[in-house]
Amino acid sequence: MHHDDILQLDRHVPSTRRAASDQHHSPLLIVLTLLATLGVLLYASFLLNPNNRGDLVPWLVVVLAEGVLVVHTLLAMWTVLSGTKDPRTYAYWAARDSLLVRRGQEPASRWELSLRGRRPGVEVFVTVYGEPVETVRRTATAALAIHGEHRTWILDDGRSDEIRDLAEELGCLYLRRLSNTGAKAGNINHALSIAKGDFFCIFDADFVPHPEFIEHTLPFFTDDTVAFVQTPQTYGNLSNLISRGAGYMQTMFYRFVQPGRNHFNAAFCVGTNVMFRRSAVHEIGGICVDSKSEDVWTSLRLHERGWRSIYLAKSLAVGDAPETVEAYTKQQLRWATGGFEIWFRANPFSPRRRLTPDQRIMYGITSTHYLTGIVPGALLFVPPMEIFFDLRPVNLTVGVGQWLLMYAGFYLLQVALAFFSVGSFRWEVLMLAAVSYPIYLKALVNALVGREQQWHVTGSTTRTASPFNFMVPQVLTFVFLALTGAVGVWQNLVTGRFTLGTAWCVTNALVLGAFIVVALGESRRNRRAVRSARRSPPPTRTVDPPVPVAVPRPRHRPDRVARQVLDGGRA
Amino acid sequence: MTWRNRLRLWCGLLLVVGVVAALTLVVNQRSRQAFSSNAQVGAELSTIGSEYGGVVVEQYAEKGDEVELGQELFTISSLSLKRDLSNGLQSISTRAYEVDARHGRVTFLAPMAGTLTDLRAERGTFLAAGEMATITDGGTQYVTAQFRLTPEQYGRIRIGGEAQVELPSRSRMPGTVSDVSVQTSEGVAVTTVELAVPRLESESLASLNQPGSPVSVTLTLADSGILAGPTDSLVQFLHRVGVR
Repeated sequence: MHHDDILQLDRHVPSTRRAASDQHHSPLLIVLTLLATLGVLLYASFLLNPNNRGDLVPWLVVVLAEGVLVVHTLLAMWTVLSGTKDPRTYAYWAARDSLLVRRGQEPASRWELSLRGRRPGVEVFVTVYGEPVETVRRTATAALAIHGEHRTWILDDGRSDEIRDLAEELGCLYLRRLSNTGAKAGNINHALSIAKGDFFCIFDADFVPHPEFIEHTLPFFTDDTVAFVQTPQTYGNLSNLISRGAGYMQTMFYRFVQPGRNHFNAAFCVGTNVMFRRSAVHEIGGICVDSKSEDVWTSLRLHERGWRSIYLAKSLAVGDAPETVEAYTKQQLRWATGGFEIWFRANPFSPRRRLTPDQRIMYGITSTHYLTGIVPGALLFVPPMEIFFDLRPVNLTVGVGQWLLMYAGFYLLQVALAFFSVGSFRWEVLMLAAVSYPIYLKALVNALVGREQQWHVTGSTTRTASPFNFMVPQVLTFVFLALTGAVGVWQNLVTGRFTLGTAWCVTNALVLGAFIVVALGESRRNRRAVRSARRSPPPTRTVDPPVPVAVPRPRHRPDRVARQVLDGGRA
Repeated sequence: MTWRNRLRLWCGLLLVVGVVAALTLVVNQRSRQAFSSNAQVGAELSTIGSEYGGVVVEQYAEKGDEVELGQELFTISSLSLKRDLSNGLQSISTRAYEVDARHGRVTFLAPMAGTLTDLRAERGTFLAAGEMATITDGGTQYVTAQFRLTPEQYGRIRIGGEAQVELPSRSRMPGTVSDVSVQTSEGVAVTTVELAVPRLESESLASLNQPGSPVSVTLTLADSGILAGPTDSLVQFLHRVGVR
């Protein structure tokens, strides 16, 4: 708390007022972005300079890998610099002013909505598939409390009676299917056949919506061409290494890239914290079911039909980033497979796609983005080439100093940019970026051959799977790099010369080692949890409400009875 | 972990360790090899020349001929020699040339037996003072190779050590170190190694092994480390199966 002797005249103290008046794109950020671009170009020219070329094989690996990174970085900068326009127009504010019709005694969640003089029906879907009851309770409670008249549905694909009882207790609607076809997309499509509101919101079971969610998103639909409004995924559980890394990885995307994509009319849906216009989804035949990444595919279909998408860079729901290696691996694999699928099954640059040039470029980025996750893996194997075969990517006449300077021009400026724009730079992000290449490689292969990933993990559902089930390639890479580093050190001792290859190899081995240490800690915790579960009855898991969102106390309203709707009305 | 994944992990670990072990032996094999920065065939040769230029009036041998010791090669008529003689220069014939003082002519003789590998003196041409012909003694070829070595590598050269010589024709032949000298120029130590290559001597002088032919030399340095034995086995194995 800031103490001074100046009287506080309104609800703000200086720090909160500064946050409230924050400009999204400060001039300093723009200059930093331009500097970073310059650094990228310098680095690219250094690598491509024929005088600096070393041995062909490692040079090719480095040029191709860094080429992917450089191209994607430049495109990201361009996107970021394009995002200076606020999507909220005069029409939006006008619609927002007349949106809520207050009723004296009623709670805010019952206030009537009004959009262009009509009363829109809004459905709020909470998609559930085996999540803990407490998590669902938190989300459903917050969903019920959203301001403005709406119906709240729990769409339970896990067919859990506990969830059904919870819905009854809270007083929200409950839907269950007899099959799981089409996964989450099928679940939503099934709900759309029953819930006929003009607009519907989707929240994953762990994303707790802000009470003002509808107020902020619905006014955009005053424009007839808007199909959906997407808001960021904000994470409230940045408590362990994996979730911090995974969470901060997304920060840049949600804070700067998506707003930029708005300008290209290519902001895409991320499956949660989103409001759709029902008729738009209806026009493309429902949410896409033929992919694990139904969200991006749905966006693509809508954009092809000429619809507008809006991304509002305002945190209106707080959820959980993946906390375990397993969750992280599955999430990234799903996203990356979806991205690559677009490339193979609906190439954005093909003349058959009816997209604007802007959208083609943006979907091109989306579909190849995860290549930037694969290339660090290729770079890990460049130092071993030097150690084992004496092959170097750059000419021996290039000094370590020059090499480092160029490298710093690219990477340090990126770090500085991240630091300035996100407010902090996390080494966890670097670690995850360095160790995730097997996931993205697997995604590429899966998308190419069109197969579903089968995980061979524990057979029992009561025990948590060991993280090492998902990390065999990473462990092997670590062992390889550690042994190679040892060989490199031995060589350097014999020849009495320090080589850059050895230094890199040891550094990379340490980074992978850090990831393995994290995983070891996780499996230790798992084992302890199993042991304590055996000793005592399972404790009722309490979930702390996430910090940034105030969750109103559930109101017990006996006048509303939970309705159960089953497939075809069969009980 | 499931047993299936454990199996995958352990098989993978075995594979990785095996690959690294094999590659380490490759590294060791490379660390005991030094590659020449430049190397060439040398041989005993004698250059025939004179301070007196002049017109070649007679030519007794062609380039590439085998010549005997003392065989006449060519005769020069030199105006400057004439002038010097008339100014009182005393000239004596030696084993290498005969002077005809009356006409101001010099006839050059072969100072050794061998092959006439270079002959600029063609009948009717004017020869400036300087080198005029070269005789190379076939069968005395050796190789001189220059290496840029670290002190540690330099310390592992042994007289009598093995080396591989690769001719421009890609044929390889073994050699042994007969002499080592080192010079430091501009902060870089350049080691010059002289190699005896028996198979070169037995070959007649072809274009590929005459003096000055560029060759490349791989010198095997002495290895007394713990990996010496396994590396030898690996190299022998590769040799056996025909990889090297």
